[in-house]
Amino acid sequence: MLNKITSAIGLNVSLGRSAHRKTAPFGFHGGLSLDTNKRALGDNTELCSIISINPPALLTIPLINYRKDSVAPKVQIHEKVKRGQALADNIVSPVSGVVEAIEHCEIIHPGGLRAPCVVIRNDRLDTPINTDTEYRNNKQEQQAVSHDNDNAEAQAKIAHFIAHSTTMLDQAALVGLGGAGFPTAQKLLSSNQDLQTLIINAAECEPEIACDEALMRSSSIQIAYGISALSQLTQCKRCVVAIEDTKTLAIESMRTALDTIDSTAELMIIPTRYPAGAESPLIQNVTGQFIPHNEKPINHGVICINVATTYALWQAINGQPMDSRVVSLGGAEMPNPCNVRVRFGTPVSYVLQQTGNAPADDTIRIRAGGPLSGFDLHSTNVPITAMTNCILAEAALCAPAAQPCIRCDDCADVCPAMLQPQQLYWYTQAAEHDKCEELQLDACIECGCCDLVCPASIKLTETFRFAKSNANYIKAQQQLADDAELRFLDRKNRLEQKEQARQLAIEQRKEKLRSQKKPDREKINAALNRIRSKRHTQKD
Amino acid sequence: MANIIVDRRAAGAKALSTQRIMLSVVLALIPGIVAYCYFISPLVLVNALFAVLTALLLEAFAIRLRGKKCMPQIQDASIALAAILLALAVPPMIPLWQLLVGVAVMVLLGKHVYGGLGHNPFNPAMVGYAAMLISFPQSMTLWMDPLGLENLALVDLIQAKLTLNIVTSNPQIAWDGITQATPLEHIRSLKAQSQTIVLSDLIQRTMDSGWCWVNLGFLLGGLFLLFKRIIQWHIPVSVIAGYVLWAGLFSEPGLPLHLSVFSGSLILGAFFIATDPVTAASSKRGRLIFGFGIGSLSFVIREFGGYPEGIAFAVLLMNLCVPLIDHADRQLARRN
Ligand code: SF4
Ligand code: SF4
Repeated sequence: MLNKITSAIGLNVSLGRSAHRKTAPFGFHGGLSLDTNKRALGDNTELCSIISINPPALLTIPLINYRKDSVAPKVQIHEKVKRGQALADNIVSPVSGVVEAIEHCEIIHPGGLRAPCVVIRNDRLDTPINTDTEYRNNKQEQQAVSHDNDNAEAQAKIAHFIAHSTTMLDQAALVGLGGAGFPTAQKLLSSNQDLQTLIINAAECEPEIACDEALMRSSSIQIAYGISALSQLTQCKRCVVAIEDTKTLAIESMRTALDTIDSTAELMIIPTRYPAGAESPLIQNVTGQFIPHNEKPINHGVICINVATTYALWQAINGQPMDSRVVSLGGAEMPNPCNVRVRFGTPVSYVLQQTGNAPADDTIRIRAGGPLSGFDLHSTNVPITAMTNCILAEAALCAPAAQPCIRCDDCADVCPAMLQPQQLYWYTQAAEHDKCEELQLDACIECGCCDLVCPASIKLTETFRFAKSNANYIKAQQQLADDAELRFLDRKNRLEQKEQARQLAIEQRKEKLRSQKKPDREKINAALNRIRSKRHTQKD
Repeated sequence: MANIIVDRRAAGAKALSTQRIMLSVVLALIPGIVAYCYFISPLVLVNALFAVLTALLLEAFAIRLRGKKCMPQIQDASIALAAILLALAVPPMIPLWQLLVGVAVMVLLGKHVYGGLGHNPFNPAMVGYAAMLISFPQSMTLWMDPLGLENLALVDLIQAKLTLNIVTSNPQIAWDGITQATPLEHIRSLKAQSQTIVLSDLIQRTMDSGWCWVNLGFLLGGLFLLFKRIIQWHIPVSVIAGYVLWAGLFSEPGLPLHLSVFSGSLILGAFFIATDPVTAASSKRGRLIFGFGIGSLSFVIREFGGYPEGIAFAVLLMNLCVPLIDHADRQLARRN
């Protein structure tokens, strides 16, 4: 009901003008209407600036990919690097300077994991690697230039990009800025099959996170060019920009921008409902397709690209590889909430300090990610990465102790993946991994909805996140064991075969000897006969 | 530092706690209880108070016995709710020691032998009720005659309750004078004597006895729960639908449906007892089947069974089917 009302309001908002309007989303199962509570946007006025901070003296770039597997570095210690130079596959240096170390450092991770990182000492010159292309460090200047660009010039750039897409995407080091950090080039280049729908994800549904909204309000024209480049590259039949209805100012500015460049992309206003911005609910909402968790959307003719990624793509087309992102600073205990553009590798503590948000005392919890999808940090001396969309400061919290499940089934009602969280919880507690698999634990998107509604305060999502990584671990162990067994069997077979071959050879040799011996005996007999006959003759 | 994955407060969670749910249900029972006090007997308050206190004590004992901390568990108020439901289900004149037996069965055998809240397969209040119905069949039919009540002071009644032996306790109290069959029992006995049922008389009797008003009170509370989304519509609607369907098809032609719906404890059962989430089926489809089963079984027991009221056994029997229903439902869901 509430949804209908809000979507009706959204509809009113979108009744302005322009052809890019589509207000018939299909909806998705479950989800929650939460207070959006975006502190980082301030009082939600037209003015919404993104603060820039100078990069710190030391930057720590984790050498891991989106699957948290480590990748091999392409630089060496004491090597001089330029801004934009590849440090590893799909990872570029955010500043120019010297590689000081390649070592294990703590990264943003719920378990306080350490991972191999490249530590770069910033020479504060920002010498770019792409000297041939237009390249500017100053964001303001860049914006001004982009605004001045007339359409023709932009289209020429896009055409140039389409012609050289593989190399340009390779240099751009684009990864999804929505939170999962999937390499964008991989997504785009795998889409050579005919693409029905390209969804630009501008539904930033989680409370407190407002980086995309701020970007849309301040740089909508660049985003529009990025969208245009994307839809030309993928040759999609339909390009939909999905925005939630509460982001009225962002909707306005995106509509103006799309109108200005005569884009064919549709603007789809979707009801504000968490987790509308997660991939599978979003696709359900926009196209009505339900994509099973173990299949890729691309095989169903859909890809989703985060709106901030399209901005980064446009920057890349202008010669600037992706080396920074907008981070929302929010939470009840953040003195100075804002959106700030941060180079990757900048420590969280430095960002907080530079924006006047250094925590007053150590009872304050610093969180990476939103209130539902994020987690508390063990230390603030960890680097921001492409996946860090939000930093929250919250007061110390005593979480209520979990009570027994009363089987109210509220969790299943809100689960966007249409799972049975209460059953899953039961089986994760009993460590029945095959049952969990049967109930599709893998399909859990860790959205936190079930956790939020559970009257017994059971930490469902945490349990699932742990169980999933545990299941993966067990699977990996199983794989290792299987491999070892295979190797063992192989070796055994090999040895057996060898032994058999040896036996065979011995047999054959014996056989040969035997067959050789036969004529010998005849000879011997013949000889004996001869001797005997000789003797006979001698006696005679 | 604790590693909190879902920050409920920052996310603005508005989830009800188990305690809030249970207390809301207790709150929703109030209109029905007020009507009960007014039209049937205020003794129900004595029973409820007694049941709640003994249930809390017994629960604390049981939890300690299981080696757990009792405060966090007792606070969820689920046993208090069950005790009130039990007190509402038994006749007001029930001797307290018999009620104590019912409460003990409810807390110990209905709940804690299975491991406490969330693990009990049967509705604890109905386990207690069934035990009492089987053990004390005579006193379980001691329903008050509202007209006889005027002759007695409340103090006398309470005194009578406290004395252990109801039959020989107080010669001044003529039991036949103050107790009376519920309308349902009345119909049953009339039918047994193959007398024709005079409708107007029956309606009069129902209205007089006040059961109608009590049930309207429970209905009001049930609607409040629905409105507050403490319960969902599936179970109450399907219980009543299940009952009405069979009653409409098979019961005496002279007996109007609304009378049979409003004269027993069908409303209480449909909104407050069958909706206990712990012992009900968990999915929506499962809940419809579960509720329909309760409605149908309670009709069968009322009509053909040896007991005037069928809800308790219907609920227990369907509790027994819950694992089956849940399993079948999951299979079905997977196939789709
Ligand atoms: S965290 Fe997982 S199980 Fe819980 S609601 Fe989200 S997807 Fe469903
Ligand atoms: S929401 Fe919590 S109490 Fe309710 S069924 Fe799910 S896990 Fe159990």
